[in-house]
Amino acid sequence: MNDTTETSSLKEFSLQFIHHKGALLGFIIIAFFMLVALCANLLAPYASDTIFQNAFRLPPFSEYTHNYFILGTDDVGRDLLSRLIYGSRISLGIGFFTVVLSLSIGGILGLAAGYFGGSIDSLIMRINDIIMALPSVLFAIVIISVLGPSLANTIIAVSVAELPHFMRLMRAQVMAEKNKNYVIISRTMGASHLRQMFTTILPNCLAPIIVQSALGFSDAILCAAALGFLGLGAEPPIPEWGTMLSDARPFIESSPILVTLPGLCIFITVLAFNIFGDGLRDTFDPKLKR
Amino acid sequence: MFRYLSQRIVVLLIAFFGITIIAFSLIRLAPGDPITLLLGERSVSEELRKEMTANLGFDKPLITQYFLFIYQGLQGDLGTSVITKRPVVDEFFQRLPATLELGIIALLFAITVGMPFGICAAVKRNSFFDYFTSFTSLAGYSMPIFWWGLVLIIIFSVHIHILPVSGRMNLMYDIEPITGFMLIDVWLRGEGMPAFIDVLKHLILPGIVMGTLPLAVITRMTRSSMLEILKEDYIRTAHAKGLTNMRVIGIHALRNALIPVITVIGLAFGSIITGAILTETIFSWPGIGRWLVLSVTQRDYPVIQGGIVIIASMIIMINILVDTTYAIVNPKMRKQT
Repeated sequence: MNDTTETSSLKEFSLQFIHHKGALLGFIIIAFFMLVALCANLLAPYASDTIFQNAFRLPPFSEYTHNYFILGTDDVGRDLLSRLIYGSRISLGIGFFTVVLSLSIGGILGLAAGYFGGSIDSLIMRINDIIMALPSVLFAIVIISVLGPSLANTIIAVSVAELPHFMRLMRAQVMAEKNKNYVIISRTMGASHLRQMFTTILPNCLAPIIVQSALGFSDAILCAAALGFLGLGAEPPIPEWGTMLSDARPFIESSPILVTLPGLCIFITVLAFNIFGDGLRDTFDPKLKR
Repeated sequence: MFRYLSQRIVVLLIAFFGITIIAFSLIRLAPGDPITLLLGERSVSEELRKEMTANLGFDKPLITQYFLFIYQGLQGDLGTSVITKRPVVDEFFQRLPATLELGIIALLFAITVGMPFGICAAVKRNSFFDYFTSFTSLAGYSMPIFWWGLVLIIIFSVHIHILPVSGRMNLMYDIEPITGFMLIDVWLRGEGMPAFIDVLKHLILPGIVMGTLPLAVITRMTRSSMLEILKEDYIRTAHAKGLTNMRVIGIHALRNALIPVITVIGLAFGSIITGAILTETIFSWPGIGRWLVLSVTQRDYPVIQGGIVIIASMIIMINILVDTTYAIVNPKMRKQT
């Protein structure tokens, strides 16, 4: 019986989700970028770091020594389209690993804070306050100043800066759930703390966390691109969109396309995740529905 | 109210304490020996190195070093920049007016555009205008502002040449700063209208870029808070009394809808700092954002260290101010003593 109710609620959820035009649009765009990222080596005409001698900043649709460049080439003679395609791997990868890291660490800390309360809660919330005393981009920059700029350090820095979102949300959810009857019953039946936290309470807190994960993706991609733009993110020749944009700044007058396209990719991806997250929230939370 | 406020202040002070620990650890955690980091990459004699270590207290136990750092910090001494050899505090306050001037313009832009749009969207709910506003504010929220700034430069400076690309004013005006706020200084130096307009023109693009995120947040907040209020019974009563629509929305609804919006505006300082870091880098604006980014790329640790301590203390003071105002403005909070 349990199975049928679950499938029907899943079905209901998908139906509502499909009817939410914004969420569907966001989902389609995200799926598109994910597909591009997964099949980058099939789609990209060249490798992201292949340099074509003397083919500097060619305009779109140009041909040079029997090589055809749909979007032209950058300032050192690499195919722009290929770099953008491989860049989707980098940006979505950063988003994915950041969300996984800050979700698991922040989620567990928030779960412990909400569940145990008292001094554990105070300690964890003070860590949260410290991270929140600086704006997240600045906090990430501070971490980079110690670790040094690289792709892995970008992920670490952004994950730490994003921790408070997950910690606070999880804590609030757990605090709302932990005194409900089903939790009290499982406690009287002798469930251990770990069992209570992860098996009893956690599944009932997931809906807003899933929404936050989608929004966290967009924050992470934006923050990482900002670090890349400032020259504190992925090191060259990694085709990170923010870094590409910043490298192309000197040529803003002669080849504006080198600046416009990477930024457009960042914008569309981030927007898609935000629309998707908002849509998810509307479908999950019937109270907010129009 | 006092209990709530004092609790908030204690919590914020603990956070500040945490930031000082982070700032203190930076130079000690960074790869390489702190003395080399402080002196730059030049080769120094072993004696000078020892002398420096003793002078700066790096030979003392960590805990003593930390209290020395706090003690000096409280006296307004946050170290000296490695690059310019000037005190970090002086450098900071010399650059702060440029950032504040830009931040004020950005916030004014965000408030004057965001609030009317938010109110109209809430009043004309589910209309085309509402959808347009919601989508635009979501787009503003998702905007990589470093890209947005460059796109605006391509359009307005490179293609139609009506606005300057970067800087605070045209080089032909050589204005010594008095207050540091150029819009005021042009008058104090007697440069008059043309210079004022030139400075204003330099503020437009960075102001829009920096104001984009606050604009999106303020629009969304005004809309949702207005929607909540418009559902209230007293609004229906006001309508029933036969008051004009303008009066009901402009006076009855707006007053209450503004409380959360004011909080958001107060807390926008954090997003101004984030905005400053990116906007000032694009527009070569001589403020604290660009200063911090340069200090990270040049590995000028005393600047990073001092900079984040000052910024964190400002953010924390503003938080306390917002909490206090909120407690005074909101009658529900006033009653709980």
